[in-house]
Amino acid sequence: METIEPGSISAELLARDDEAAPAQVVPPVVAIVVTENPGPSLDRTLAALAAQDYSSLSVLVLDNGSTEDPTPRIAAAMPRAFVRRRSPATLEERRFAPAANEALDAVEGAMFLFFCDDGVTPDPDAVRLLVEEAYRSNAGIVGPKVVDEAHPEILVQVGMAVDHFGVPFSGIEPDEVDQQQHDAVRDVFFVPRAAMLVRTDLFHELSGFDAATVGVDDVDLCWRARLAGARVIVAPDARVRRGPSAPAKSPREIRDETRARVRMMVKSYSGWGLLRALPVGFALALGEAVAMVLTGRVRRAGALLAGWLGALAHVGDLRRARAETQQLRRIDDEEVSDLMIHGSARLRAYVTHRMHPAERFADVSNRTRARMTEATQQLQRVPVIAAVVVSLLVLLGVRNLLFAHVPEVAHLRAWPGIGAAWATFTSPWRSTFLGSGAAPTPAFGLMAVLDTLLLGHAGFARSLVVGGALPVGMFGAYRVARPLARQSSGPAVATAVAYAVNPVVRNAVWHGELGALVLFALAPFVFGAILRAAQGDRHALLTIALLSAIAASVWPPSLLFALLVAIALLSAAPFVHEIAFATRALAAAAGATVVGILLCTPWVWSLLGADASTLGFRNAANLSVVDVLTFHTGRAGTGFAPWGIVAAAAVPLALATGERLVWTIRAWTLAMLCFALAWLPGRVAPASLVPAPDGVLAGAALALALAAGIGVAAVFDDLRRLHFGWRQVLTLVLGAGLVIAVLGFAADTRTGRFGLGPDDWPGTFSWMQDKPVPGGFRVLWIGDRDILPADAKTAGNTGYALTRDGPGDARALWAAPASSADGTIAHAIESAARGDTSRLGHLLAPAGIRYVAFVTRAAPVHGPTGAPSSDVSDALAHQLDLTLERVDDASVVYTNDAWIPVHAQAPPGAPLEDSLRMDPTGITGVHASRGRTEAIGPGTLLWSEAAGPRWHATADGKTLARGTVFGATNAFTVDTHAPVSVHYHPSLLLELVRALAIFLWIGVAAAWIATRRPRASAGR
Amino acid sequence: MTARRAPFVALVVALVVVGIVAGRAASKRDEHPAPAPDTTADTVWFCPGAPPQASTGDRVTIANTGTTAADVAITVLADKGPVVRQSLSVPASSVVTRARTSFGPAGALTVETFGGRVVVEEGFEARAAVDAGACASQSSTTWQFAAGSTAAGVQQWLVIDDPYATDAKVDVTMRTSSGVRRPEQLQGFDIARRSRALIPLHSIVPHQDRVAVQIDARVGRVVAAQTLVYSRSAPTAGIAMTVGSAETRDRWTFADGATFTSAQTWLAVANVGADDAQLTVQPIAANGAPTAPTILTLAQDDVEWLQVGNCRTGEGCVTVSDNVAFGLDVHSDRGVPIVAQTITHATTNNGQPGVATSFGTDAPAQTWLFARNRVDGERATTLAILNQLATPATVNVALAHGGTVDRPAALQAITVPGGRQLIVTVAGGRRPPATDAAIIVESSAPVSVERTVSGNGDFGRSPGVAVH
Repeated sequence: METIEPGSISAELLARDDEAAPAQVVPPVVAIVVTENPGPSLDRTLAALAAQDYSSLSVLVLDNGSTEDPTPRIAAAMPRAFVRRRSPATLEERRFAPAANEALDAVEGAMFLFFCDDGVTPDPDAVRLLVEEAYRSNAGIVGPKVVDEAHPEILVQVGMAVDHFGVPFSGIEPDEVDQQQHDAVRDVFFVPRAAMLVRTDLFHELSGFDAATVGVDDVDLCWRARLAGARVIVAPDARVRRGPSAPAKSPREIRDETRARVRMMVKSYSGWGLLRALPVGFALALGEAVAMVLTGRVRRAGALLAGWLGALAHVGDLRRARAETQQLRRIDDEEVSDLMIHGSARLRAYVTHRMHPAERFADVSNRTRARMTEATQQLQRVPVIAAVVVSLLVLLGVRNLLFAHVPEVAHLRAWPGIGAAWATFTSPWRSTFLGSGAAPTPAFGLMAVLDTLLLGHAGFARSLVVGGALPVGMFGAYRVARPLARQSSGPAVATAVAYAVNPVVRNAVWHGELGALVLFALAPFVFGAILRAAQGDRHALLTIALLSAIAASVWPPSLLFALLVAIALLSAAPFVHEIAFATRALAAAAGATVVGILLCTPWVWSLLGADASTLGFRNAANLSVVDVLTFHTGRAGTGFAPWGIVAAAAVPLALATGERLVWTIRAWTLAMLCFALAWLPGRVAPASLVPAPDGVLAGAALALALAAGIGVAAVFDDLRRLHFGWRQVLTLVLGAGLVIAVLGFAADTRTGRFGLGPDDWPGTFSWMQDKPVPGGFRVLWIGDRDILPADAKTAGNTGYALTRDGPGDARALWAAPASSADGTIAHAIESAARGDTSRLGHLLAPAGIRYVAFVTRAAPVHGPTGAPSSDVSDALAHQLDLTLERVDDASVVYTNDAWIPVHAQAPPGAPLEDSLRMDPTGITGVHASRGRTEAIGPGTLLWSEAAGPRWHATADGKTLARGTVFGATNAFTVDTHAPVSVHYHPSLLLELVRALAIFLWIGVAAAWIATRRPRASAGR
Repeated sequence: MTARRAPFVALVVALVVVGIVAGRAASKRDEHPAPAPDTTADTVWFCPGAPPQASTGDRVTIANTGTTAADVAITVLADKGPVVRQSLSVPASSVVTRARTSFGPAGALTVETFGGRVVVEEGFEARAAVDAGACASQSSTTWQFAAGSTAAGVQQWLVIDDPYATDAKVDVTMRTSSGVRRPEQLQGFDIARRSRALIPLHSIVPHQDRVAVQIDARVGRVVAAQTLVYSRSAPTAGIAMTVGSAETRDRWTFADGATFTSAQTWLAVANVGADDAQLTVQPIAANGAPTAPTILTLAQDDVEWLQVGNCRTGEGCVTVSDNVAFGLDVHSDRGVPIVAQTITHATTNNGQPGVATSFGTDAPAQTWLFARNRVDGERATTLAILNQLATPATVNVALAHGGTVDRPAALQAITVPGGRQLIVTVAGGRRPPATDAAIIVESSAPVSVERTVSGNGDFGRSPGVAVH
C-alpha cells in the first residue's frame, strides 16, 4: 500500500499488477472508490474488492478531501489499493464527479473502470460477472443487482429507468423480495454510480461525469452514453449490497439536483424533444411545488422552482454543454425514450409507496392476473352471445323498415319502377324543379338494376337499402375488424356492436338521409378495401372505386370518403412512424376515387360549381363538440349511452401496445378528422349549407368502433401481461361502455323505425293526385330544406322544392344544379317572405304550381322538426291569390288561384309578359304524353320547363318558333290546329359520355368479379 | 414500429378542449343575420268600405301619379256571393273615380296595382255625405280608433276585412264613457277568410258619448275601418269614415283645424297603455301666435274628447285663439301609447256642414299624395300644411289628371314659415273643377299635410299618403 501523487498512477499501477500475471489474460479493471470522511463501510467495501475473484482488478481510492487521512484505514483493509488524496478548494470540486473524473488522467491501460461507492459491498464474483456481461452484450456501461446490506433477500434496484423529465424510477417495489424475478440481463436507462462498470474508452469519449449534474450525474452519463450509441445494461447475476439509503434531501440538494436535471434535459434532448418535454416537465414541477406548499413543505417547493429557474439562467453555459452532448449523438430520441417510462416517475413512486403496499399489491397483482386469464378464457364465449343478442336487437330495431312501410321522409322517397328509374337515368331532360339538361345521378340506374334483381319490387328494394344499411354496416365492421385477433372473434364482434349501436345510423334514418345510410353500410367495406389496396390488392382497388361510386351517386360527398380515410392514415403517420403504408393507401384511395369519378361521369361533373344543395349538403346544424363526440345529430344520441362508445374507444389509447396502438392511433385520427368535418363548417359558416353530419360522422362511427374492437383485443392480449393497476380498471370502462351503448340502442328499437312513424306527407297529400288536370301541375314545398320530402334548394332562410302531379317520388331527389329558371321561384318566395308581394300565386303560376305546401316537420306527426320560418308562413297566409286548402298540425296547403298547367295553350295575342300580373284568362291545359300534345292551336303552347335553345317543337312537320315567357319557361307559337311534338335535344357529346359511363360500370363490375376469386384463394 | 401514445392522446384531448372552447365562443355569434331589405313598386290597397246602410254615394278613386301606366286588379270580397274580380289600366298622371257599385256587389275591396305610383281612396259623394280618405296599404293584427260615439242619433259601424286565405279571429275592446267594455260576442270573433264583418257598435254598446275601439287579431291579419253616421236627429248630420290606425304612438300630429264659431273640433284621445299618461297638447296657430300647451292626465284605458278652441271653461279644452287655423301636436310622456283622432262638427251656417274625423299624420314627409281634389257638389278643397321645423318650407302643389300634371302658379313656391301652419285652397270657388285630379304636394322640408274636401252637405278630412 502506498500513496501516490496525482499524475503518476497509471503505468506504475498497472505494471505492478503485472507482477502476478494471471494464467489467463483478462482485461484490466480499475475500481475507483471515491470517499470523503468515510465511515466503517469503507472497510467493508475495500474488503469486498479485495476478495473479488477477478484477477486483473486494481483499486484506486480517491479521497475527496477528508478531514482525517483515510490512508491507514485503507492500508489495513486492502494493502494493494492505491490512494489518491484530493484537496478540493470549493464545494463544486468536492463533489463526486470532479473526483471521479480524475480517473480520466490517472488511469491508463485499463479496459474498464468500476465505480464503487464506499457504502457498497460487491459479491466476490461481481466484477467478473460485470466484465463478462459487458463483453457478452457489447455494453458500454454495466450495472449489478443491488440488494440491501442487512437483508440481502430484499431488492434495492436492478437497473433504473427515468421518466421523460430525467427523474429516476425503479420498478422495484418497497421491500420486494428477490426471487430472481428480475434476473434477466436487459437494457436499462441507467445504472447508479454506486456500482457501475464503464468501458474506459467510452468514459473518455464522454469526458467523464458532468460536474454540473450533481445528484443525477450517473443518469447524465448513461444518457450521453446511449446517445453515443453505447448500451447500458444491468447484469443481475452480479450482485452488490448497499447500506441504507441517504436521508431525505435538503432543500439545497433538491435545488441543485433539479438544476442538474434540467441541464441534463437541455443537453440531451433533440430540439423537438426538448420542446415537448421541457414545458411539461416545468408544469409537473409547478404541480409538485403546489402540492409541497399544501403539505407544508414550502422551502422544498421553493427549492424545486429555484432549481428550474436557476438552470435556465445560464443560457450560454447550457448552450455549450448542449453542443458538446449533441456532438455525441448517434441515435435519435425515439430510441433513447424507449427505456423511459410514461408519465411522472414521482407520481408513480408515490402511488407505489403509498397506495400499494408490497404485500397487498403482490397478492392483488397475482390474483388479478389469474382472474384475467380465467376471464379471458370465459370471454371466449361472450362474443358469440353478444353477437347474437345485438343482431337480434338490430333486426328488432329495423323490423318495420325491412318488413313494413318505410315512411317517405326527406330522401326516403318511394322508388320509381324499373322503367321509370331507367328512363330517368337515360333521359336527356331531368324533371327536378323546372327541369334541367344536366345528367342524372347513376343512382337511378342502380335503382333500376336493383329493382330488376328483385323482379320489379321497387318498394322492397328500397326497404332493403334503408332497413338493411344497419345490418350490412354491422357485418362490414365485423369483417374489417376480424384480423384484430385471429384466435378470438371478440374484437371483431365488439367492433360490429360498437358500430351498430352508434346513434349516427339511427339519426340518419330519422332525418331520412338515404346518402348517410348508404355510406354507413359501405364505409367498413371501403375501409377494409383501402387497407388491402395499400398492400397491392387490385381487387380491393376496384372495390373502393365501385363502392365509392355507388355511395357518391346517392350522396356526392361520399366520393371523398376513401380519400378521407387515406388522409387520416397519413395524418397518423408522425405518431406511428409509418409513412410508407399511409402513402400507399393514399395512392390507392386516390386512384380508386378517380375510377369512381369516371363511373359517375357525366353526372359528377355537373356538380362542379353547383349550388350546395345539389352537392347533398344541408343546413349547418348548431352542433357543439359534445354533440359531435356523442353523435347527437338528431333524436338518437342523448343521455349517457353514446359516451359508452367513446369511452370504449378511448380505452386502447391507454391499453394497446405495438401494432394495436398503431391502429388505435390511426382510428382515432380518422375519428378526429370526421368530428372536425362535422363540427367546423357549422361553426365557421353557421348560415351556410354543409355536408350532412350523419354522413360525415359515419367515418367517425367506424373509427371509434374499430378502436373499441382494438380495446377488446388489448384486453385479451396486452393486459394479461400486466400487473394490476389502473389499466385493469379500464377493462371495466371498456365493457361498461359497450353495454351502456347497447342498452341505449335497445331502448331505441321500440318503434322498429328508430322514431319514425308510418305516416308521411306523400300519403297525407295523396289527394293531390286524385285531381288530375290536363297539362299537369307542380307542387311547391316550402319549409326547412332538411325536412322537405324532395331535394330542396334555398330561398332566403327557407327551403323549397318542386314535385310533379302530386307529392312525387324519388325522381324529385338529386336535383340538378339550380338554374336561373329555378331562381324565379326562389325570388318569388323571398319577395313574399319580405312582404314585397301579396300575389305569390301569380308569381308561381307560370311554373305550373297548383299547390303550395308549407310543412314544419318531416312527417305529419313524427320526424324532425324544421327550423321555424314564421316569416314565410305568415307571408303565405297573407297572399291574396292563395286559398287555404288543408291545415294539419305540421302543414298548411294552399291552392294557387292563379295557377297555369305545366303544359297549356294560350289564345293568340294573350299577354305573356315577364311575370303574370293579372289573372290568366283563356289559358287551358294541354294533354301531353311522351312529348306529344293533343291537337291544339292556333295560339301559344306554354311548355313550363326551364327555357333553353335545345327545346324544339314541331307541328304538321314544321318547326315552331320558340320563345321564353314569364322570364323562365318555353313558349311555342302554334299557327295551325295540330298535335305538337316537343323534345329536348341533348348534346351528342353528353350522350356519348353517358353511354361510355354505362359501359365503364359494366367493365369495372366484370373486372371486380374476375379478380375476386384469386384474392379469395390467396386468403387475407 | 413504435407509436407515440402520449403525444397523440394529448393532441386528441387538446383538439377536443379547443373545440369546446371555440364552440362556446362561436355560439355567442348572431347566426342568422337579417336579410337585406328590398323594395318593389307593386302595392295592395285594402278598402273595407262602409256598411250597406251607409254607403250612399260610395266612390272609389284610383289615382296614378306616376309616369308610367298602372295595371290595377280589383277584387271584391262580396258580402253575399262569390268573389268578383276586375282589372283596369290607369294611365300615367290620371285619376279614375267610379261608383263603388260599378266594381261589384257590396263588400270589401282589394286593389292590387302594378306599375305607376298609385293611391286609392274611398269615400262618399252624396248631398249629406261627403268624405274621402286613402284606403289601407297594409293589413295588421291591431287596429285603433279614438273618435267614436253611440250617443243618440249616431251610428258607429265597425268594418273588419279579412282579405286573406285564412280565417281570422279578433277581439274587440271598447273604451267608453262608462269604462272598458269587452262584449262577449266580440271576443274571439271569427271573420271568415276573404270576407268582411260589419259590426254595429251602437247596438252593442249604445248611448255612449265616447267610444274608442281597439281590435286585436288573435289569428290572421285584418283591415279595419269605422264609419260614424250622424243622422238628422243628431246635432250635426253627416258621415265620417276612416280606416283605423294600425299602430299606437306617443306622438300624434294634426295639420288641420280651425276655431270658427260655426265649426268645432274635438281631439279624441284614448290611453291604450298600461299606465296613466300625461298628455301635452300643443296648438300651432297659423298666425304664429304663441299658444300655451294644455297638459292633462289621462288615466289608463280612459278616453277623453278635448274641445279645441272656443273654450268657455279651461277644463277639458285646448285654448286656441278665435278665428284662427291651427295644427295640433299631441304627445304623452314616458312613451305611454295613446291613440288620438280629431272629430270636427260644422254647422250649415257658414257653408261647411257635416262631420269629419282624421287620424292626422304619422311623420312629416316631403312628398304627399291625395287621390282626388274634388267631390260632387264641390265647395272647396283645402290643404293644411304644418311645418314643425324651425326653418321655412317651400311647398309646390301639382295636380295630375288626364295624363298631364298641372302646376298652378298660385300653388307654387308656397312658403310655410317654421313652426306655422298654412292652409291653401286647391279647388273650389265659383268654378270648381269638373274632373278629379290627384294632388301632389312636394316640399323642400318635411311637413305634415291634411286635406279637407267640402261638399254641399258634408265635408271630409284626411291626411295624405306620405312618400318617403
